Amino acid sequence: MTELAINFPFALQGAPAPQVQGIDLSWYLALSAVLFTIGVVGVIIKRNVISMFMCIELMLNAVNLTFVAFASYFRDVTGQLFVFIVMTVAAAEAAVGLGIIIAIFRNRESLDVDDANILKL
Amino acid sequence: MFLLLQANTTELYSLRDLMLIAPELILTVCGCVALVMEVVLPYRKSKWTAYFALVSIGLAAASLASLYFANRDLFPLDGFYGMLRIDGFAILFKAIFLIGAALTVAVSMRYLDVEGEQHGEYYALVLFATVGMMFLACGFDLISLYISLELMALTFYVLVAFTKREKRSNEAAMKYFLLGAFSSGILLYGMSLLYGVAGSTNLGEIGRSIGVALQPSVNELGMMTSGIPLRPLILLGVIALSAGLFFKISAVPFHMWAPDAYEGAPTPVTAFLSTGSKAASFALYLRIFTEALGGLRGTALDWAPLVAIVAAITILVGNWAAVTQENSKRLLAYSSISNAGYVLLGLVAGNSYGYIGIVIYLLVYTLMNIGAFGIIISLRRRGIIGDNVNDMAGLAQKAPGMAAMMAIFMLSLGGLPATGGFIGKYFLFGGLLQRGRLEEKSWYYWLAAWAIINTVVSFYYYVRFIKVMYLGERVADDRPLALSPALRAALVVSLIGVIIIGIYPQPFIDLAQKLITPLTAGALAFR
Amino acid sequence: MTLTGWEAVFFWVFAVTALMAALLTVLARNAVHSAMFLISTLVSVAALFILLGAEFVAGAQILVYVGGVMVLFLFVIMLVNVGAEERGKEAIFNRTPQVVASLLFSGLLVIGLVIGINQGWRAIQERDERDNRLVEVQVRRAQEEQALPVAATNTMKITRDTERIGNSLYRYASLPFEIASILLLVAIIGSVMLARTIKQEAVTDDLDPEVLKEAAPLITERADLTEG
Repeated sequence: MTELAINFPFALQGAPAPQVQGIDLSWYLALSAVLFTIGVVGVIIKRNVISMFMCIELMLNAVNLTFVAFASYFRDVTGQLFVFIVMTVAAAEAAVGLGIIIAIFRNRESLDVDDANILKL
Repeated sequence: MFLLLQANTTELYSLRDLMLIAPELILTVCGCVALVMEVVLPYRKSKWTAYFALVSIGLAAASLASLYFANRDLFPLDGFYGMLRIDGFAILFKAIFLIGAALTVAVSMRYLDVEGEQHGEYYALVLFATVGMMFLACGFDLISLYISLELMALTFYVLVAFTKREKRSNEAAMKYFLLGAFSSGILLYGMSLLYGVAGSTNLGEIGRSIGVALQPSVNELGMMTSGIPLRPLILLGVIALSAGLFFKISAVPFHMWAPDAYEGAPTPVTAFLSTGSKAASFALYLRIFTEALGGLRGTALDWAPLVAIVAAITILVGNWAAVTQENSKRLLAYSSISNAGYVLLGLVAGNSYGYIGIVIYLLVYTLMNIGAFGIIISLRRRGIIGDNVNDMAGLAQKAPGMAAMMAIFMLSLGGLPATGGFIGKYFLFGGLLQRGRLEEKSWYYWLAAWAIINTVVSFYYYVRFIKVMYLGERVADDRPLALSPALRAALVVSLIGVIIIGIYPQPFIDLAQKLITPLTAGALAFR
Repeated sequence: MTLTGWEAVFFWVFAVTALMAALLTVLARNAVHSAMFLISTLVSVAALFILLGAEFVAGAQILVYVGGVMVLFLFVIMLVNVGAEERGKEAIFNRTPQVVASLLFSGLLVIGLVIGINQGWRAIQERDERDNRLVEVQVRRAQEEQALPVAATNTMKITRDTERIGNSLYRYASLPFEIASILLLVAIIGSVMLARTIKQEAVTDDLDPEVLKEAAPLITERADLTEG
């Protein structure tokens, strides 16, 4: 049941493997760094609470990619365990964050951070 | 549980491991019982949950004490496959959290009545937040540290939003939540880079790997390689970790959330947030920066100058912004920012003086800050918000005892000799001077001088409270204060603590020194 | 680990998809569109996880993130109708200070991260080759992979990734796992508490008598509104 029947490299029988430059860990790390930056920029420029929150999820996901990449390099499951915990946290944060958003909406019916001005920014 | 212990393969964890987390287990179970009580009891009897929470904190404290006395010669004790380490450091911080939690529960009861939000969940959440903090103090692995940090933070998001029909509370929760989640993301990125450097999430392993990476070694050609290539990655990790942690302890430039969150949150939550949560973040900071990154001190990647600059700016910004505040919760928020700067000085010092200073200062800060917020809580009555500095006018005539207590808390926050705050600051600054003498670098002296000058400035706004209370021309209102036996008891306990530590600090210093010394030794062992 | 051949092609496909979708998540004006693009990013990253041999995490990513968290997001977006909140046709990059700051910051961050990570990665590789740190593990893993059972299609092997994670999760990570359970409990309490309406509180006798008195007309008038 738990065994997922995938194991790379693809043994596509007969199909010739394309000649592409090999991808090593640094590509993964660079990709996740760029994704992380996009998330950070998103949090800074977005005005809508929900969109900001989605960008935070994007950041967490980029971090997950780093963890899994390192875990794969070190042949170590610790990184994957960390990802598992991060996912739990992200789900819990989503529940609480959206709860807060609903509470705000009930009270004020606007979700623009610029409108949140009772407390000085 | 017995099924787990008797699993037919190898055992998952032994009973010994569970004994190590007995205080946390007690709090967790009691939190669940508190939840059930909330469902069973009608609204009018919700306060029973609060008393139950106090009892459970007492039980946890007892089990913490027994843990300490049974094992004090065996420290440090590792458990759960190296996920946690019980040592003097952990015990001290756990004690501080339990004191903070008990005082918070005591000052909350009356406030929640006034707000009309007396729900049992509140106390359960306080207990769960305490569990998170306690795991944060003893975690020795990035995974367990991260999840406990999130447990604490998530609970605080809910607690800040607890008075959910208040717009201010909603907004504070939203800001705190967004910035908290954002900073956790950055912190996590730093953790992932450290994992990449070390190939392990255990702090001891990371410390060892970094030590090896920075050591000069001979490569196969007989050339000396000085471990320079790994530096950028370690540096990135340290910067990301620091940025995340600066958010958590509300150090400049990541302090913007603190005044808003502190002002909007229910006052007892503000008290707990500014003491418990901050102390726990410092525990995390100390753990990571001494155990895992301690080896970087004195190398080209020394993080001390970075922390020193941040501390200097934090002290300045916190103090100067506090001067102009009219709202007392906001004022105390800025004061708490500057205090975070003072505590960072202990980390810069990095010797036993500095660590003793951190522990004692955090303990005293917990007592005096919850005390100060307790007074503000007593000013909150139906129809009166009472969180303005001018709301204290005439308190000396109306309630001389409360006014005197507030005055002592304020003077202690400022660091007047013969109060607890002075002892903490004395050790923090003394540590800096000692380090400066040892390393023969003058910037340690300048930093200490800077901190002392700013301490003098800080008296201006602390004394303002006293001035308003004693010299205020007219009484702000003539309604009686909202007091309850629990609130009074909490205030008296805080007061006694602040005064005893101020006048007779020796036993506390001895205890702190005894328990914290291994940490210093560990940090020095890398060199 | 180095991906070659088809794997490298798949890496490029999913990496570019993830990047584009992430950019569009930030740039989309409508929150629903944002959410959709985020889902695409998450799915692509899950595919990248599979390329890295982390099948279980990939599955969890799809189930938990896409199936759970993002559905929750969409649900809330629909509930509070954020679409109307974003101001009409205004461009997203209209607040100069923030945009300049974020562009500067992102440029620096990307350059710093990519350079630092590339150098660091090379250093890690060098160190591990020098110390022969991974050889033992690699030999053991190669042996393990040899011993894996072959799938019915005879083209791939059945991995033990999930088994390994399960074992470690209940041993090495048992403490974080337990703490995560408390975290989820807190999340449940928090979201229930925050989302409960005043009427629901009144029904279960969990409301302050004075608040109840004040809110009594509200409860009767808006009963049907608040209940939904």
